[in-house]
Amino acid sequence: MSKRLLEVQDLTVGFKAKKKPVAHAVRGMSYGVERGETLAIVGESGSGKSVGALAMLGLLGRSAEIGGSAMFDGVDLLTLKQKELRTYRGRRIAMIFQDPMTAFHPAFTIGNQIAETIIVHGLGNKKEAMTRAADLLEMVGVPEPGTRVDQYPHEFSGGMRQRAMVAMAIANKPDLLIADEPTTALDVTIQAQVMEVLAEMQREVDAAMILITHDLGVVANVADRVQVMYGGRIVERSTVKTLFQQPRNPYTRGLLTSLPRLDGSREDRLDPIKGSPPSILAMPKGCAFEPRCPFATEICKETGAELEELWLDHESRCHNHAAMPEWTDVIDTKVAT
Amino acid sequence: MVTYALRRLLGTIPVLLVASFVMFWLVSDAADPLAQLRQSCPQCDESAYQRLIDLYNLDQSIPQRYFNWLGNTLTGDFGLSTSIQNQPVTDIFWTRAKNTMIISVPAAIIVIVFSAILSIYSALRQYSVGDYAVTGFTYLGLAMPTFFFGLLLQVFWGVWWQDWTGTKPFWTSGLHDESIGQLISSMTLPIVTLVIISLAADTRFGRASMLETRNSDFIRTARAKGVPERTIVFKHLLRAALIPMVTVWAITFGTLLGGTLITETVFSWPGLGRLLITNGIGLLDVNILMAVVLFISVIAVVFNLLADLLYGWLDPRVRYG
Amino acid sequence: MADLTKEPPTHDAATSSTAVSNTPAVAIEHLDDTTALAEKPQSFGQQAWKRFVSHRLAILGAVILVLLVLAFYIGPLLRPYEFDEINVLKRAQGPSREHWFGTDDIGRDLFVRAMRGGQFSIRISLITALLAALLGGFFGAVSGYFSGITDTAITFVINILLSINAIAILLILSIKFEMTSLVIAVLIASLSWTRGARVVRALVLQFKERDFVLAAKAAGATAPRIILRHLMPNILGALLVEATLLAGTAIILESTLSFLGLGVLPPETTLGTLIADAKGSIDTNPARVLIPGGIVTLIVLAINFLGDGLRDALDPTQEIEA
Repeated sequence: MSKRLLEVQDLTVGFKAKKKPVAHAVRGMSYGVERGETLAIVGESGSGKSVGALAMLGLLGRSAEIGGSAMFDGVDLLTLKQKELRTYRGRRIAMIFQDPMTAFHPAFTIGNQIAETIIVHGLGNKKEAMTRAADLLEMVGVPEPGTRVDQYPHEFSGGMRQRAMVAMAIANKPDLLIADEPTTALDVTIQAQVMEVLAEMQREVDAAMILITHDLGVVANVADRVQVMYGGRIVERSTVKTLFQQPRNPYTRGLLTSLPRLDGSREDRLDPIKGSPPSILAMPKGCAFEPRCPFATEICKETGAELEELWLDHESRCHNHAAMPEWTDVIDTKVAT
Repeated sequence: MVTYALRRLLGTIPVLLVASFVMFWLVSDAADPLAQLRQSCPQCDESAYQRLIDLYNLDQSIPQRYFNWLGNTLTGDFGLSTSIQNQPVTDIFWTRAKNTMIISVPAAIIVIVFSAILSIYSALRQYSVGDYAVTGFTYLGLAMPTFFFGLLLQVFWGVWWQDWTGTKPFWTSGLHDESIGQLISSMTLPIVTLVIISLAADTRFGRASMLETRNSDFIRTARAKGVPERTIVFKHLLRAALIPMVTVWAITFGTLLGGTLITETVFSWPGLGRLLITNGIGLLDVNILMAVVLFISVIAVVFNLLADLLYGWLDPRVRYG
Repeated sequence: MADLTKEPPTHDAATSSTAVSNTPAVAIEHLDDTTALAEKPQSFGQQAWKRFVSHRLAILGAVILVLLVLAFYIGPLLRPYEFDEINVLKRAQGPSREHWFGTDDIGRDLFVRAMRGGQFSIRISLITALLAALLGGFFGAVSGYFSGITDTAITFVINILLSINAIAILLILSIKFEMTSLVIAVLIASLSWTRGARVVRALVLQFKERDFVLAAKAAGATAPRIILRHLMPNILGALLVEATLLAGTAIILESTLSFLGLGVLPPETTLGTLIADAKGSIDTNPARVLIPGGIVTLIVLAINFLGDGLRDALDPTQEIEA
């Protein structure tokens, strides 16, 4: 199977609200995911990273205008009607949401909600589904799963809730997991545990995973490949190792530089990227990052660059990527000061 | 849960005591049976006045009279009426109470059922013509005074309809129980009047509650799991939106049971509300007034408590608080 | 000559109405050039005003109210009759050119009387809303901020007021007190402030633990200062909405009182008394009931539209689902 499991081409998403101009959340995104691999999508709020995933599953609501194609195992998800999409949701593609407290229904037990995903796809009757729910809770490391299965979401701690969410997602052994900021709502101490469970379960059901996050630390630990988004577009894509060692896009570099370093001194000031992202209601016609970019030139104001393949498995969208200094030099200078 | 309910129940007692005392004091202060007697019976002699004083303890202070009243009421004795020939209020009360229930209970049920239907409909078919109609209805219902709506019905069915068709399918005043058919025909307009305002208010709330819940994260999760839309609406959405709606319904029920005053006046319906207005206040009959007011207060308090308990029962998050 | 048939350029992908299409992304990229990076931020007030103004019903409500108020105060000046001018010869007439709404049983012009009644309603609603807002705001804030005994006591009082039927109390009190517009307003306000208080209390409880309040406390601000300067601006919006809706309720309550015969004394008139007076001749002249009742309904409807607009303006929800 040389064809990739998921092949997204030129995905565009815009939102139209009354009396407001169209909000361009995603402006031409193309990527693919292989079976068993983990692709991380990194970006700030408003970069369009979540929207793209929600669009594929048809979860965006009526005000969304979607273009492009999303081929999943040979079928273009964007052409499917809601009824047809339902056979994919929770069965072949499963989502894990950001805030487990609000993502679960407050008045049904956790067991009930996990079992539901099994029952609606005809993979078991009520009794079987509940037993399986308890098994799944055990798999994700929730203590006393037999009792817990009859408890309500508010009786779980944050980390346990997210584990339960993972359990719910893998219940039907999906081919693709989409995790939308799975650790953002959790305490730092719990984040690592939950990520570990997630990765373990991914291996368990042999699924591909799209991990959407703004946390580069998580990316470094878990992902195979990573793509960075800004202004609704992918600005850099490579393997994880390459991205951290040889970033070739001003925005990516800005992100990496703004992280505090373990080997820095305590007198180091934090180095954020100046300025703020553009409003999705009015995207500039040139490069979206241009106003904040230390490498910007005249041409950047005029047109945005294309996503160019620099070498094997490393693409960057920048007119001036060749003009950027070597990353290793940048790091050394930073550490030295 | 039971201890919680009992605790709340006990908490309502001081409220009822204070409320009833305030009402008692206000009425006793305003009422003056001796002056009334002087007016209605100028030839009556001292013994008549003395009898009145003995009968109603007028020589005692108001707080003392209140405690007397309280003691009697708790044993089921509502005292004697000052406006209806010294009749025991208890009998009058229960007869009238029955009449009030005849219109208030069906009205409450209709409001609950229809507000549920309209809310669900509106939430599912937002922006449709039907939705706008429902919204328009709720606005109008909330802007119209009850008595005016009652009068409108009387004009329509009592004047215009009769002029156009020569028939009068509904009684526009009074309770007529010669037969079941007559009873229903006289119940109809009062019930419709009672229903409209509450229906408008509850539908407005229910619709808003449904729409808000529809945008919740857990609905999105259910969709992402592949749950069919029908199940999402009738299982997930309803269950969540039901929590606040049920409390509103409980309160509406209480309000309707105790709030028939105006409707009964407009339609000359012989219920508790009319009794309160004509005898309790119009004729300053203390015992009648207290009996009815206490009834209304108890109903209000009980149904408010019910609303809280239902909320706790339906929302697991609150249950253990 | 300008070519009026030429349509302004549209962007097909952007204006297509439904979700799925295979339009290439390029079509979307060549759009408005406005660089929005340095947008001037709008203050909350400006944003609220914009939202309010785009709320069509609210504007309609405001316009209706303005027209009604004008009619109520200027209308009588257009007619040569006083509201209490008796003319038995002209009694019980239907609408005519002389008497726009007809006359009542002792020949008084009903149009002028209705306008005067309208004035009364407006006065009542404003005073009541103001009083109830002040009471509700005060007690709600105090109750929510100080908690403990204060809170329990105030909640106790609120519960008592809620268990008493408003109409019953008003009726009883009307026996003792002379019913001027001020008295009625005070009485209604003292019974209806509870809703506003509950709303304010809930909001205060919510905001009490927020950082900006804790910061003010840490800086040594006194309780009144915190409440007035820090909490109130956040709560004012909700209180204003409550007050608006209360204004409408006050009108309905007052007209109900008058209808039951226990409102103002004659010859002073309100819309409710007009309806009561007209009840007798409902068979022959239903318009006499319908007109004042219709006016009441219209006023309250307009107030409710306005209130909804305020609510949307001060507490918006996102239109875009993301």
